[in-house]
Amino acid sequence: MAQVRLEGVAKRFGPVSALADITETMADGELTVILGPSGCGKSTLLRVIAGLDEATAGRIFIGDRDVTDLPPAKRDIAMVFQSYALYPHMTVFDNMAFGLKLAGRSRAAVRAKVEEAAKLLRIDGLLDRKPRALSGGQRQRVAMGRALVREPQVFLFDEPLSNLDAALRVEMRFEIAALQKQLGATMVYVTHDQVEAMTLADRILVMRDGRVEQSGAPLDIYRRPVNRFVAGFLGTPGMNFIDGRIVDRGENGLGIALGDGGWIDLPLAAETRLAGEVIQVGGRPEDLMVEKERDDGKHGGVRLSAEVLLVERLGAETHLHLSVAGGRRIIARVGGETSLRQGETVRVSASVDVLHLFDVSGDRIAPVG
Amino acid sequence: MRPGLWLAVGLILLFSLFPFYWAIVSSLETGTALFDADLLPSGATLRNYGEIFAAQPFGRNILNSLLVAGGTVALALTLAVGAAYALGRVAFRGRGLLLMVILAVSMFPQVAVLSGLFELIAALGLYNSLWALIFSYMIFTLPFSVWVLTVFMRDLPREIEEAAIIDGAGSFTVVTRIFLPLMAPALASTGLLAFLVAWNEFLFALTFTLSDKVRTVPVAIALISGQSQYEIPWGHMMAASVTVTLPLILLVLLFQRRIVSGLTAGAVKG
Repeated sequence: MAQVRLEGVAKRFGPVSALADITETMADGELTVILGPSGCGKSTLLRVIAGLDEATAGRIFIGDRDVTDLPPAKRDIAMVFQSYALYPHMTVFDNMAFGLKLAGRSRAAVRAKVEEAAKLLRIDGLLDRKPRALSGGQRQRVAMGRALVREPQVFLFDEPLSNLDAALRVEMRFEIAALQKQLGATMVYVTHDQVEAMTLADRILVMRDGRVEQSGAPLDIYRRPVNRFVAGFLGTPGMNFIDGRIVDRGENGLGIALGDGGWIDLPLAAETRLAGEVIQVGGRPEDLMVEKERDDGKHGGVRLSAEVLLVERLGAETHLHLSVAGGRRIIARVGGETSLRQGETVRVSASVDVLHLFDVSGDRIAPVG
Repeated sequence: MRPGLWLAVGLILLFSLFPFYWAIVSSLETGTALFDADLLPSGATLRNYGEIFAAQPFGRNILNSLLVAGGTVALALTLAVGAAYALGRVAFRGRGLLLMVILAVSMFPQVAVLSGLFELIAALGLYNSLWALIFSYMIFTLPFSVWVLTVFMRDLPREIEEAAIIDGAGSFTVVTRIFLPLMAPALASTGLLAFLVAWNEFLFALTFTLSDKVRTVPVAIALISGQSQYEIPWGHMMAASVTVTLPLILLVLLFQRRIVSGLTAGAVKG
């Protein structure tokens, strides 16, 4: 196994820039997820690592080898495609054996490798079948088996689960994670599904418009997104944003006047130089507390009243769609047994230290508190 | 609705099959019986069939036709597969223009190219040989073969090719080990069409061959002669026509089963 190191990798398709100056390291034995919306360049980045697309600039290293100018077969990688890309006219055995045969391995060695991988993936009973006689999940396993038998330095996955139904996706996700731990393999995994990213990744690269916006451990990114885009992209339902302006009230300290009548007290430590700035306040749905409006004066630093537009009961939790004064809609995630109803006026509060502040250009203002 | 449909089917069948039926009936009759308009042959005999092989080198003509049509198909498909890979899978400047030019080649009427082609064939020393026919038939078989295969090749999933590339396959291996098996239906149908064209072609076959030994079937049938120049030997001609049509029908029936879609089922998604 080996790490993957990218140094200033860029890719242009004619006048269009798909990747811009990417310098990242995907550590040995780790599962790195490249996450982003469609068209952000994440698949292109994977294809550049695989050698299916040529980098316009920059170098790519796998282990200590500079593989920038090597063809895919010489890079010691294996790739699992979104569509599985099995050879339809070959049996499962031949699908998995194809690469080994081309590499000139002996018959016995090929058979041994394929059978070992098939056993690991529990498809050893299917070796004589053609792909069309397999279910989606089985095809997915064969595609992984074809990658396994090559014993590559790095596994590349291009949205491998997006063609599976929800239940199977959860199962295969678990198996990929288990396989990765078992083999101690270096894996690079592309997806637009943030649940896959959060659950699988040792490290996530969040991409947008051909750039890496943020990289780090899943929970670090979730808790401390560097900008509005990352903050909004991770989490379902997504983070709520409300416009506001930082106001200096002198003796009474600093606060944020929300555009729609609400107020947030900022802790004394907050820097006064921010006063007057127009910002956006972000709060994750699970960090918002929603109570029936009461006139007891307590508000925990955040005061915002809202009207319940819709109550979505999911059993374990409830999503409240709220309209705050001014018409902006936000979503709060509360317990499954809430008694709140549509049309009620409620008070939304939150502890200040879990809120995120972003400046007009979308960058995080640190620290909040 | 239903009876109307069946009536229409019946009419179409009658329209398309009756001439062939008439040829079979005529081929079984001799002498003056040929000129009676009977729906069933009077005094049916297979004598005509024997005579075309005895009195003429008709067996040799059939062999020639098989060699020419088979050679045309083999050569056209080999060249077309290579061209289709380049045109369908490799991005290069002028690809669209090249495809248009290939299509344009098939637009020329045969007669227009006949004299020029004759010069060329004579210059190459191919006159009065089967190679002259195989070579000249490329004019009609290659354009449509290239087009059909290019379209088919372009529609094969790119990821399959990329998977093979990562497995270490070069272009040649991709084409021969991955694409060719997937293209079997397209190869069967284009091959069959090319075979039919070559098998039925008359003008070039008449022009580029001289002796009975290298004649192909359509020319041979047209040149079957009677006892005198005033007698047209309908019986022999019909017998010969029936004889050469049967292999075609067999071929179509044989390949019909291969011309099925869904061979790529299972390659991608579900």
